[in-house]
Amino acid sequence: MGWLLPTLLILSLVLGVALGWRFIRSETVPVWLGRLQRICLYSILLLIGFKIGLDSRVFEAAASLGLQSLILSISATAGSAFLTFLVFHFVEKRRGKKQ
Amino acid sequence: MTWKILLVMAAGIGLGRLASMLDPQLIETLFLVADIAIQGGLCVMLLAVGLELGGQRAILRMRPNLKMLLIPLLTMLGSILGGTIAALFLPLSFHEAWAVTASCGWYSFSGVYLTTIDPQWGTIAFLANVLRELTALLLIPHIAKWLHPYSAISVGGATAMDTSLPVLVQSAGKETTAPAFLSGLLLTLAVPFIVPLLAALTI
Repeated sequence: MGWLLPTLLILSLVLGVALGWRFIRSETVPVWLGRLQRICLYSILLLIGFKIGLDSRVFEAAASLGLQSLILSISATAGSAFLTFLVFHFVEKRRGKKQ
Repeated sequence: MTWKILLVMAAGIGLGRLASMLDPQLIETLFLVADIAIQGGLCVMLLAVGLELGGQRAILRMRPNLKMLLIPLLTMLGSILGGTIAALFLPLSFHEAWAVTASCGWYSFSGVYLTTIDPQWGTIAFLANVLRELTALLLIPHIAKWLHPYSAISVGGATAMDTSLPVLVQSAGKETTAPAFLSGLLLTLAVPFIVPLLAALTI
């Protein structure tokens, strides 16, 4: 499949932005659009769950995958929080010295 | 919302377990059908996300300053840095950890996209990013208070424009609304490019 799916996904997003810019006039999300997003999300999640359940290999490794996910989520959260803190702290300190 | 998501996933897993007792050939067909349906659903969902973003004209017309643009960049770099450190201790290669952490909380994208490559990888991506959303909602008030308001925005990742926005505004102040929304928007636009790119690497 290679790059076909990412290309299709990016095209869908770009097409959506163009159509939204042209046809959606309200600043709040239209009800039908919110509903469409929710229907898509829940259907996709149900199907992902279905695929996980169907694959015995993945299902049996669930506990170890859960721990790995937890570690990845904590490290990503901490990494972004501290990098942002360090850079803005440094920028504000330098600005303070200049003034 | 997060509990509903976990319930739907659990229902899917239950159905999958029941279906796993069927004939192996039928299971293979079901796998293929589920894959095609997931990919189609993801395209429709991204179209809907795009429609929503396109309608936000005031935000799309906004002239962002350098500080505002730095937040999503640092969020992405910090997440990848976190993934690099985690990969040192986990049975994952660097590119696998990067693709998971660079999703910045957008579980419906990374979970689905990486499932099409490897169901195990997709499961990790999905869980890690759902957990990131949960962690963000719990930590934002504390991070805004003890670290920096912009750190609180970066913890929200791609969800800074939707699910974490109310918590952000409440705990870091109204002035964080525009940078938070812009950060979430730019990350939402960047993730579909960056995750496939990182997933294609072999490091």
